[in-house]
Amino acid sequence: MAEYMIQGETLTAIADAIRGKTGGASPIDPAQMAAEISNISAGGGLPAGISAVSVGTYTPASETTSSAKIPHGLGDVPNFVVMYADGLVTSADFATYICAFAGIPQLLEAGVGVRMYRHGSANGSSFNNGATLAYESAYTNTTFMVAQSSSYKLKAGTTYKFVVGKFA
Amino acid sequence: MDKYYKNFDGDYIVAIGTGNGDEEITKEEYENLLFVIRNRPTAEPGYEYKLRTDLTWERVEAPPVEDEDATEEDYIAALAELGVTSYEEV
Repeated sequence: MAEYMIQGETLTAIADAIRGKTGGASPIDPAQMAAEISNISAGGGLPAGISAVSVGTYTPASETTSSAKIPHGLGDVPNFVVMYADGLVTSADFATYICAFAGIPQLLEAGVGVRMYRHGSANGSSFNNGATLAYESAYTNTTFMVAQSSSYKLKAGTTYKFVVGKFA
Repeated sequence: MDKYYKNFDGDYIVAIGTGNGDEEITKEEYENLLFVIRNRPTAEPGYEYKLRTDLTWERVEAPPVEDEDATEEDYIAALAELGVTSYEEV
């Protein structure tokens, strides 16, 4: 094996960086540094109670004039969806209803620019049976569906960001 | 790293996006399509432009808006959301 010289202060800097991540205070044997680094969590993990999330964007080429079926990459049927677009500030610009499938309570997400409704709820939107079935069938492991009305629609050229996920 | 997609409805590109979609494309194609979409022609009232897969715009009559989800209750709820709790018709 080839041998190399390394300055002591370089080793100390590496050890300090490891201790900064692990919270340790003990000296670290250079031979153990690789193992110490491997044991450091990379971070970015999911919050407790969330088993999976997938983020994506959707930019319609034309204004939606009917409900849009939006592809997602979760690989499972999501049970929450959040959608947002920068710069949409008026209620008419809020774009859409997100029509969630059964089990999601009606939510008004005024602060983030999206209304989320559980379809078919007595005090929410009043989809007829056909629409309800369409929304249910659109909630799959690859798509979710957003609705539109005369007041709310996806705007052409606007990039909508979304996150879909699954509670644990 | 993001994956980029375009989504079709027959001969039309209905949307582009990241995350998932009908056909994966390069970042360069995505950015080109984004430029095309954001520079679409302005349609007169009653019409809209749809993007064909050959990247030409086709003017079509705008279909009637589905408004099955708008009810009086929805509007009242929306007003209440804005803090309006009493009003009269004019």
